[in-house]
Order: sequence, then C-alpha cells, then structure tokens
Amino acid sequence: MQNWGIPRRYLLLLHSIGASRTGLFGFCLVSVLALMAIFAPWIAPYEPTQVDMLNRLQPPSWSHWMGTDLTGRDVFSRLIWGARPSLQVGILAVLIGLPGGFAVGLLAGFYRGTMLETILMRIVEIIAAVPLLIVAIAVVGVLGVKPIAMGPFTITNEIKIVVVLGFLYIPGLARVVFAVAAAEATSDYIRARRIQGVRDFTLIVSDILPNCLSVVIVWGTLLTAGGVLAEAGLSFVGLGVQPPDASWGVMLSEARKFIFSGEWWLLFFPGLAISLTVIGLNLLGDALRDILDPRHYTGPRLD
Amino acid sequence: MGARLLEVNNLKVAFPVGNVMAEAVRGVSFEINTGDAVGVLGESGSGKSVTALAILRLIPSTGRITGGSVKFAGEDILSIDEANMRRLRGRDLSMVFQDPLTAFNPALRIGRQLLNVIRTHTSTTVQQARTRALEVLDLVGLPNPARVMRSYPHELSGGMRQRALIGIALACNPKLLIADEPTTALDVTIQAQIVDLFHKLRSELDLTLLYITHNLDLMAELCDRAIVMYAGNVVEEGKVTDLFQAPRHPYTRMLIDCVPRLEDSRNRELTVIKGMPPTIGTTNPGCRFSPRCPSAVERCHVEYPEESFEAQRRFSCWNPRL
Amino acid sequence: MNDQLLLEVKSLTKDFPVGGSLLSRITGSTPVMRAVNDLNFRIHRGEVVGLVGESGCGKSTSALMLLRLLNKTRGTIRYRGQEITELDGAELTSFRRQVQMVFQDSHSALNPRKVVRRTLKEALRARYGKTSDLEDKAIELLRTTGLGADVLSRYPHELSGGQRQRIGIARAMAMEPEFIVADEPVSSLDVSLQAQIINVFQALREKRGLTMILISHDLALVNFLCDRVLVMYAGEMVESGDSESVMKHAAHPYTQALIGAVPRGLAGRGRQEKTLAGTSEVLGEGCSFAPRCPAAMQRCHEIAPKNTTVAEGHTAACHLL
Repeated sequence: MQNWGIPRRYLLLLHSIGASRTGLFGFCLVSVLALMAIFAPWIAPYEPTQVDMLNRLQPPSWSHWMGTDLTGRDVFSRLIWGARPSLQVGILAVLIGLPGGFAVGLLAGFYRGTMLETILMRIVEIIAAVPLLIVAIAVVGVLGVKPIAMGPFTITNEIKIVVVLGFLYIPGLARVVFAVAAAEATSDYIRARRIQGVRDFTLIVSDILPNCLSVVIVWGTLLTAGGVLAEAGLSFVGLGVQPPDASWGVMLSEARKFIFSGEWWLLFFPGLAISLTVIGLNLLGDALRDILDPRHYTGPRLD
Repeated sequence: MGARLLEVNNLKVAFPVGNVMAEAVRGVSFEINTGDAVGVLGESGSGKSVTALAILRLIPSTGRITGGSVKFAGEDILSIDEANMRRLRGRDLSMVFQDPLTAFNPALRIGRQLLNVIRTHTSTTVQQARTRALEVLDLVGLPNPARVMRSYPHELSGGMRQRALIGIALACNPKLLIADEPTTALDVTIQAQIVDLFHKLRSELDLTLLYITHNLDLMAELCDRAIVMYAGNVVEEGKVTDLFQAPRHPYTRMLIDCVPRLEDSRNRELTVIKGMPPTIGTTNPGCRFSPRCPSAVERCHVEYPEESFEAQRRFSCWNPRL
Repeated sequence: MNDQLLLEVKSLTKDFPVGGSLLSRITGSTPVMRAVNDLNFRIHRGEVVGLVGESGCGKSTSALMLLRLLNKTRGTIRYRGQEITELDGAELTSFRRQVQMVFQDSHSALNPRKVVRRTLKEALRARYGKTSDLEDKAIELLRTTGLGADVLSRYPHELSGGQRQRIGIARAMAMEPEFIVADEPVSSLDVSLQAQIINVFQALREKRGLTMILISHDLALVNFLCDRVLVMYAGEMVESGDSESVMKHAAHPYTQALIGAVPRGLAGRGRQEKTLAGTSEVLGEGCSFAPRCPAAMQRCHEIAPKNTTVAEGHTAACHLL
C-alpha cells in the first residue's frame, strides 16, 4: 500500500467500518449531520430567525418543507442551523474532557496500587457523583444566561455548557483509560522496556498511551452522543442555547405548548433529528468498538 | 482385550479460514476396545483436540465434520440427532478438559454442578444423587467430599479442581473417558497425583481411556497404545513400547529425541526439528512433515504416503527407519 | 571460566500486603504474604544456574527483584559488588545494559501494537542512542536467533510462539548483556520448538560466554542446560548444588518428590511411586514443607531447618540431614 503517512491500520479501520452495515449506517448518518451543520448557511432556505407572522404554524408544504413555527420561522432551516450547537456541544465537550480524562486515567493506571492512584480515582469518583443538571443550574444561576464579555472573548451560554459537560466527562474517560492502562502497565513488554532503562514518562507516552487510543475513540463517540442529548435537554429547560437562536432543544421547548393542538411538525422533526444523531453516533461507536477491541486489543485483560 | 468400543474411520473436520474451509483433521482412523488406554500424541495444530471434540460432536459451530464416521458401541453417532447425542454425552461418553478453572461454572457450587450431571442422565432421587456425588468425589481422592460439594470452583486448588472435574466426568459411569491435556495447567507434583488417579481409576473401574497429550513421557506411563498425529493426520500408531523403542516415523523418532530427560547424560545432543508445523489452511500434496523431515526423499514431497502395516502397528512414511 | 563473582544475593525477602484496610496500611499492620524468604546464593561469571520450583514458590518474584522490577522487603542484591537498589545515574544505566531478562512467551512479552522492527529498534536505541545503522543491527540480532529479516514488518500476533520467543531473546541481546535471567522461556512452546529455543540459548552461552539464570518448573530442562540448581519451595531455597549432584543424589524430601514426579516414559510404567499429596500452603513455624513431607518429625513442625552441606557445593535445609 502506498505510504500516505497514515498507518495501515487506520485505513483498515475505515474499510472495516464500511464492512459493517450498522457501522456504515451510523457513519453515514453522522456524516450527513456534520455536513448539515457545516454548510448550514448554504443549505438552509431561510434565515433561522426570520420571522413571518402571517405564515405562522403552517404544516409542511412545498415552500416550507417542515412547516413553520409559532413566529413563522422555517422549521427546516432552524433544524439545519440547530445541528450546529448540538454537534458543537457534543464534540467540544469531549475535546475538553479528553485531556483531563486521558491524563488522569493514564497516571492512575500506570501507578496503580500507589497513593497517586487512590487520590486520583477518588477525585474521579467525586466528579462522577455530580449531576449535570444541578451543576448547570448552579453555573447559570451564578453567571446568568446572557453572554459574558471577558476581554476579547465572549462566553456564550453554549460555552458554559460545554465546559461543565466536558468537566463531567472526565470520570467516564478516566475510568476507561484506567482499565487499559492498568492492564498494560503490568505486562511483560513494559517490564522489558524498563530494564532497557526507559523512564516512566517515556513509557507512558510511547507505550501505554497509544494502546489506549482505541478505547478513547470509541468512548468519545458515545460521549458525543451524550453531549447532543445533554445540549438538547439543557436547552429544553432554558439553560442552554437561548431563543431566538436555533437549537433542537430550544425547538422542542417552544413546541411544548403545541403537543396537543395538532402542530405535530414542531415536535416531530427536532425529535427525529436528535434521535437520528444519537442513534448514528451510537452505531458508529458500537462498530468502532467491535472493530478496535477484539481484533486489535489482543493484549492482556485486567485481572 | 474387550469389545470394540469406539471406531473412528477417516474422520475429517474443517474450519473456515478466510473464505475457504480448511481441514484441521484430514482423515483420522483408529479404534479403542473396552479397557484400553489409548494415547493421542501431538502438538498444536495436529488436530488432536479437534478429533476429540468431533467424537463428542462439540465442534464450535463454525466448523464442520466433513467426512468419515464415528461408531460408539456399534452405533454411528455422527448421524444421530442432537437429543440422542446429549443423552450419550456425560453418561456413556465423557470428557475432561485442560483448564479446570474455565471448565466449571464459577457461579455455582461444585455440588450443584455435579448433581446437575447426575440427575440429567440418571433417574434418581435427590438423595440418591447426593450419595452418588459424594461417592464420586471420594473416588477421585478428594479429602472431605462434603466440603468440596459446598465449595465454589475458585475456592479449590488447581489439582482439586481437576479431580472434581474428573469426578463429574465419571459420575454416570461412562464407557469411555476422553481426557484432553488434563494436567498441562498443573504443577509437576500435582500432575503426578492426577496421573496416579488415572492409574487407579483404570484398575478399579476398568475405565476405557483416550488420553490426549503432547507429553510423550506422560503418555508412555499411562497408555498402552498411542496414535501420533501431525497436521491433521495419524502418522503412526502402535503399542507404546514399540513406539518408544523402535519408532518408524521420523516425526515420532525426532519428537522422542528432542526432549531433554533427567536420565540423559549432560552432553547429549538435543535433536532439533527445524521449521514449524504447517498452519491450518496450507496444503501440499505429499507428506505434511516432509518440509521438516531429514529423511525426506523426492516422493515424500509429491505423494502422500500409503499406510504400512506391521504387527499391531501402522505408519505413513515412504522412508521410515526400520 | 574465570571466577568473578557477578551476583550475590543475601537474605532476600519479599512480603506482599494482603487485604487490610486503609487504616492498617497507614499504621503498618497489614497482614502480609511472604513470597520470598531469606534467599541466599551466588553466581559467578559463565555459570548457568537453574531456579526450580512449582507455581507460587517465589522464583518469578525473585527474578523480578534481581532486575529491580520489584522492590525487595529485606536483604541485599549485589551485582559486581554494588547493591542494585542504590544504583543511580550512569551506574544504573550500566546495570541495565549488563543484566537482561527473557520473559515467558505470552501475549504480554511483546507490545501487540508494535511491529518487530519497532520493538527491536527501540531496544537498540536504548543501547546505542540514535545511530543510523539501527536497521542493520536489528537484522543482525534476528540472525543470531535464527530469524530472517522478513519478520521485521510483522506484528506479534502474526508470528508463531517460537518466533515471538526468539524476538524476545533478540530484544534482550540488543543491550549486549553479560547476564540473562530467563523466566520459563520455553514452557509455552510446543515440544518440538522447545528444542530450537534451547539451542539458541546454548549457542549464546558458548559464543558470548553469557551467565544465566534459567527459571523453570521443568527439571529435565534444567538438568540439561544448567551447571547448578537451586530448588525453591514456598519462597525458600530448600536445596542447591551442582545439577548432577542434586538430580542424582537429592537430599531434600521436596527435591526427591519433584524428581519422582517427573514422568519417566516407559521406565515409569507400572511404578507405584507414592506421590506427594497436598498443596503448597504455608503454615506457621517450622519447615514450610513439613505438612506434606513423608518424613516429617515433630521437630520439623516447630523449628525451621538450616542449610547443611551434603556434598561439595551441595547444600539442603532439612532436619533429616
């Protein structure tokens, strides 16, 4: 195979995803949604905040494929634009939680049995016990829902959610990495490297870390799905994206009044979008886990 | 010498490798009479374990028996239905596996697992089954059988677990016991205890035994006859004394010579068999051992050797040592 | 063979904490399991010494301590006269080059995610630094263990057990050690492959004058390869001496039982040798073997036996002597 600089096994990975029907389905779903989010300004037929009171609460039609909402905004356009905060929160939260979770897991696993592991894992457990909703309410209660200007940066509500969520993701990632790191740290090939005089830091970074990547990729996919749901949930209760901006959770929140009055399209499409995103991410995560874990993870088990 | 108990004829078993079915057992034939102790000697890839599993029809679902026949007490057991086969397994035809830890259900006590077997195959009351269970545990040399009954598998040592496993296999008085490397996972002194147990069981119960192992010396102590398997074929069969004193097949001979022994003088040269056993899926038309065989001639590489027969032995080799 | 003393072990002891609570860990009163108890031996340059015993006897634990992969609880381990736990800096680097280990082949002896080339180059880099001919050196290493350059691009799971074991040996040799500890190097291999690996060790010994500790449960193998034998039981050394002396005139009942348990082949048919009953659980005082010993006296259960000389260079710890 030509040397494209990509290790052979990652290309094999993509090929394997294609070979699994559910994985392929998940991959396609996620890709479609990602493209939707990226190209929103070009795809959406209307502005998401464009009000048109004359045409409010219209069912799906040729001019408004998914109908209009209570102020006449095009549901389809809002849906497309709404993909952005959902995926952004999902992905960014994982990216924020990743360094922390990875580092904690690696150190705790490598130094298993020492005081360091005990301290780290107890901290992890404390964070894990914190419920998302309570913390979100607390943060918003203290900082308010409006964007805060801090020097050149504007901290939108979305950023606040992302930070909180990312922080709360640390335990999940840390535990998963811990399991792998702890198992690998006792293996003979690590011992062999030690007796070559290799220092601990090098061992962690060059031997253990790469072996944890598979689980992190899989777990990250699943956490992204969690993030999408979290964003929807928080926006639903008013703690996330604020109206009139579009997000699937906001759309659901606005549709609450219309559950029984027959304007089904206000609930159905955002709900469908959330479901498909989460399903797609989960299927992708499952496929990745099946591919990455048994075949490549031929290493020692935790025992 | 008893009646013909097990007759395996040209047994073939194949597994999928990539997109094709590759033979792991390529036409194995042998017989066991009641009261015999027959050894199956072979290394990994020889097909010895697969043969045993095939006899019990316990091949993993990906594999298939692709040819041959297996007759147990005169009955063709490859063609009977699964329900009847289940009746045979555990009662008339029994097996002891290599790893005593994974062979047990870790969540159930030994007693429960033992009683399950007894009550499945025999119509006895619970009380009778318990009595039989305690009897069996005593038979296999476990001190304090009542306590063993109450224990979980992980609470016993490796040797005790293996004894319990043998006990379960014997609970319903099987006609044939197949033991697949039962001592490989055990320490040497425990291994000796288990071998002693087999000796005792053979003499007390007149047990018919098919003993699979890669350890020649162990097999030689326990068995009267043996078949030597290599890459899915039987390459030699005969009385253990003949095999050791005058092996015909080069593989048998080299296998005997490549193992260091306590009685050897310190300067003995270890015979080394070059190369590796062929992996499943590779084929060549001739003798499968020929690439590694120092006595190989032209014919060995192109034509599979016919079987040669001598008094109470047979072997497949174009250029045997005589 | 010059008589330079390379390794000297005195009163080596290792305790592992078992159970106990956080409180007991702080107060230091956690119950312990003594895996190695008061081990003493010496190894001179050029010797091949066998460390024999069954599972749980402490041989692997001892090996790990000799390589400084595990902390000792008590005792001294001196390599070339220096206590290895006090080594630092350049001296430690030097020790790491001189003493290497070959592990029992399992999934964990080679990093499953690294190709052979990378594993060997890393080892060579640790020894020689970033030089340009690492690839050539790697090929040469493979050649000394009987492998071709074609395995360089393979992952461990693509290779056979015998090949993996040779690579493990090659990796250890990359450091150009003078002392190798081989922990059950052939027990996971097929019988016909064991001989190949044994030969590799023989060749290394002859060509490089390697000093070796061979850890094994296989008495016949130890008898074949080793000049001297140390027999361990329940963390203690019960007998030691020349291979020939120990194997033919074993003094300790455990050694005798061990030798008696080895299958004899045809010669063993019909023998009704009384085999050793029980398992190696360690109880309190006295000789740790006493509970299972067929010749145990009252004294054996009360007082731990001391080492007695049985013959030249051959000692055993038993009250019967």
